[in-house]
Amino acid sequence: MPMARRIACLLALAVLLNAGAARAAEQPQAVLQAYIDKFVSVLHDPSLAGPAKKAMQSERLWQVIQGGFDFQGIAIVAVGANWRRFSPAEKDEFTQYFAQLLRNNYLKKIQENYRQQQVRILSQEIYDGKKALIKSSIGHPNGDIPVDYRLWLREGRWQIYDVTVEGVSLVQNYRTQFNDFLLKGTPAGLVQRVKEMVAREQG
Amino acid sequence: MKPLATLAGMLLLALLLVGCAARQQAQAPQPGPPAGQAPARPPVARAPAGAPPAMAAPNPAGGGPLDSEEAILADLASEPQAMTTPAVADPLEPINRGIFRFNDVVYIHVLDPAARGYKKVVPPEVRQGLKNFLDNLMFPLRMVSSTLQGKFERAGQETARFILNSTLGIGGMGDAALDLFQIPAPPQEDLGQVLGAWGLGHGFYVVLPVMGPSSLRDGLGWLGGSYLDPVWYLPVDFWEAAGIKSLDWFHRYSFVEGEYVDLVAGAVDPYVAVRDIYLQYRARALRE
Repeated sequence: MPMARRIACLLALAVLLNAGAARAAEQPQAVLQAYIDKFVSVLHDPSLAGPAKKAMQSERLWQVIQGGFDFQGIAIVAVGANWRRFSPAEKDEFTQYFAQLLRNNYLKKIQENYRQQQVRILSQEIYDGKKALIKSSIGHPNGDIPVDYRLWLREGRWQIYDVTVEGVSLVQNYRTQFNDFLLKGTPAGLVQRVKEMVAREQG
Repeated sequence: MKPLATLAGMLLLALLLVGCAARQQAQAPQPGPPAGQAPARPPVARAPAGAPPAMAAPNPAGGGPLDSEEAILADLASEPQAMTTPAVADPLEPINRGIFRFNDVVYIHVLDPAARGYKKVVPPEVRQGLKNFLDNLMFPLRMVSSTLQGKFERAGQETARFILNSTLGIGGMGDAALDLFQIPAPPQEDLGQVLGAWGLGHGFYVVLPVMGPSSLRDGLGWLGGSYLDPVWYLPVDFWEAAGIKSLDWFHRYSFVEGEYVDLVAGAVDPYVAVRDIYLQYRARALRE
């Protein structure tokens, strides 16, 4: 009699502990670490090394990035309150081309400058259970570079919505530019401008 | 008796398991509509504009608090200081933009090519040694700046580095303080930051020819800082000292050759982008 109860308690405890572990696995720090590891593993992949494979490596890196970054959310916070002035079609076009702009600008640079730098995650802070600030440091011979990631919980998973390098936030930087533009220009004009920049890079 | 107890035990387990599952449900909100990242999704107004601030109630079942566009915008509005560069007046904008365009040409067509040539002749190890040497020379300014801001630990750090590097680091060419004693360079302090720490705002934004972005406060700080610059006290005339200063500046520039182009490559408005980067960077330097 006591045996059955004891087993029942142990099993219940095991289930409870498991549930706790599942919650811990959703910690933003773990999510970010997993993405960084995946990203670095693509950079280290010998089958993608060399100038001939640059495009393929870029494609694979982009897939990892799309899994971790919330480009729809980034577009919204980069434009800010002015987002309400955009029509639904403009919103979609802007999100699409802005993501492409970020890809063109940053992915190539990372590919070219990657020299086995180490990314060390230093700390994590969670706000209201839905936003997180994770500080990291990227090793560099001339001095480590502090990089902060901001993540939020959207649609059931933690995603990156801003990156801050040496204290300069990407989203903030674009918001200042977009606000300035939209003081005199229209959302359609901004979409056009971003499209032109993307076309220029591709051309 | 025994079968009854076993049944009771299993019932208890079942109840506990159900309880666990319910808790998991509440913690991990169900994924929203699958078309989360797909285009052509009409905006879903879950919360009206001007929704209550970020301190919301616990996650509602089936839908995170940030899933909709309006929720994101409301969250942004509730924290106005978050992710907003403090505004600094730019009354000289037309002039600044003109100088900015001038600088653009100078960086890309004059300084970068010259720096590339310089780098070809002077190998990186020598340039690093020179950079350390020049950094050592600027110690008085950094030490005074740190002290004036009350950052005594930092002032002490600078002093330790100066003494160690001057004696062990071959007159400042090596970085013995870092290599042997693990005393890293603290963040650079200058008089512009001193003024900032004392509460002085930027005043307004200024683009200096060749020197690049600055502000009224930081420009004054830079002028004041030159009084602590040993170069001006050397037994040479003004123009020779200015020549030495220019060489020093160019030598430092050689370390960042090509970065200006990278910096403005992704910018929709390069002038505003650089202004914002400068202000964010200075704001952070002040915080540390």
